[in-house]
Amino acid sequence: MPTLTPSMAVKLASLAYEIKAPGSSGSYDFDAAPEIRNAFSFDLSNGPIRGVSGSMLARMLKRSTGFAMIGKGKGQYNGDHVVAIRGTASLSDGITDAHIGLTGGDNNSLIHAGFNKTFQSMKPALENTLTPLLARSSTGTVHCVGHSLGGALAHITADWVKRRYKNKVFLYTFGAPRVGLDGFAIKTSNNIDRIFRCTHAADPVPMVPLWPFVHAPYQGEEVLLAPGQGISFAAHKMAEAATPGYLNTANSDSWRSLQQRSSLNLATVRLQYDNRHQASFSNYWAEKISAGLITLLKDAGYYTAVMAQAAIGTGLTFYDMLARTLEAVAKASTKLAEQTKGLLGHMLVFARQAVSTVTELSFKFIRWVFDVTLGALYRTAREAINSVM
Amino acid sequence: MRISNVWRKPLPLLAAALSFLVFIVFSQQVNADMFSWFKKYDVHLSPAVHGKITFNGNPVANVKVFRELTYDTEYLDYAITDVNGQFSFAEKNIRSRRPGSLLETFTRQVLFLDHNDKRYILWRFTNRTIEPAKTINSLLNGLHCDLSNPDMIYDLRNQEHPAHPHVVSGICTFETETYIIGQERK
Repeated sequence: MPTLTPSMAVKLASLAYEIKAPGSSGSYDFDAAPEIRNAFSFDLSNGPIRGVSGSMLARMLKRSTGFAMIGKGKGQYNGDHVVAIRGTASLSDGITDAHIGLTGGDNNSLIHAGFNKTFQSMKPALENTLTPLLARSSTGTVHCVGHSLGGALAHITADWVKRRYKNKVFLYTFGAPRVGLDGFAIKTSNNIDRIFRCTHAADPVPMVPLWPFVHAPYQGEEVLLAPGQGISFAAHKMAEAATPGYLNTANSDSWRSLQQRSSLNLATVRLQYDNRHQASFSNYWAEKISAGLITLLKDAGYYTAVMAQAAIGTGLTFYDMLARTLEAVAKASTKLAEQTKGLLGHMLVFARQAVSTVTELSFKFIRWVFDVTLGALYRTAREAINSVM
Repeated sequence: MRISNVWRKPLPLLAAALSFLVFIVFSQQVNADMFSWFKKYDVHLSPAVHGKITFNGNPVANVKVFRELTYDTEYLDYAITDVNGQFSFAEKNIRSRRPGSLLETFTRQVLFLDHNDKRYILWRFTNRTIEPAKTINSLLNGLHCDLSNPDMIYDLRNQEHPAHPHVVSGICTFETETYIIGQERK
């Protein structure tokens, strides 16, 4: 039951971008590196799996483009299959604005509405292709691969394949955003047999959408392919000419040699107001601030109520509700007020605001702090996604 | 009453359109380099191409050879072979304003022709940079495409990024074997 090597997985994620549309020469065909050719064969004579992207125009015209390709394993991978999915820039609107819509996914947990819509548009074609293939190899592994928003689609696909066909399913993502709330993360962490979630520390896309969206493997590890300071949209790219470039950092034959990093979200974090200038615009502080927020809500006894609200509300009302909650939390005791102040001060320094003094703990002020923090992170993420597709 | 709902609610529609415009304008302006969006970049699509078409060794004259170059959109041109079966294309570069996307998307080169109701792919290559690649420049300068050749895949030395060999396919053979790391029938 071999896994794909990091280098195979990243090459497949990259190849998925090449099947968007055929040229005048008439075929979707592509030429893969030898390690891919020796392991999988792709029959694109009927074209790739098509899907409708999240953009308004594409949806109105029901214009579908190639989204995924399915390869049949051979040699060492005999009996296995691979599903490689590409991302699309138009989905970036969905993860980087404050109005993130949630929808019930196929496994009855809440996921990003835009991702789900695109997945649903390609599901019938996926099913038509996979059913006859997997009927013949119920013991083979299905490897799902994707970069960026393609990674988000691969995640939903992997979960669906597992429930639909019961084959072993491995998921490999590169610079993928969060897909759903904790319910989805927990279910898919249990359901999918192995998850290799690969990131660069400076890549902003895995940092969005912000909490309450949660990554899978839930409370598990990610494969940190490149450490780094700060947040830079260039760190989201794949190409070998990019720095660091996922094709370079994942160019390895073994997962063991790559660095594993566990999520900070598990930690209890209470942020001191006086230490706020230690914060910086980085992945480390994005996670630390999320952890600080969760700890504050737990300390104040509001965590469960906020999660319940998140499950029924949409993005915009979620941050309104969160600001209202923090206003109430701050009023409950001096200690909690200090902790709230510490959190907000760190958020302002993170968002590179010239003035990070917290003078009041009103709803209006707290809501504004959320706005500038989300704005700073989402802008960089949007830039990163638009730059690759 | 067959008037669509849209026209009965002009105000919300107008508001939606306006807020969309505002969003577009502001989301661009807040970028650190607000003009990066309008900046144009040079994208290399193809070096000069020189080649010869034969069939069982005999020159194929007066046939259209197409060059399909893709970078988001497709650029298609063609050349006609002379009495010796020879054809050529000039180097092709474009200016593109894809926002800051210096290096990510790929450029694709396909050379193909139709002869006796059959389509032949002479050369196909996908490059993940917008810069020229030395190996490719040198090979495209001397292609020999015999239409009776088998369709091949070549793994070629990448001089700019040695860890990522180029992969080229088609029926053409090259003047030099220097760059070939591996080859197999397709």
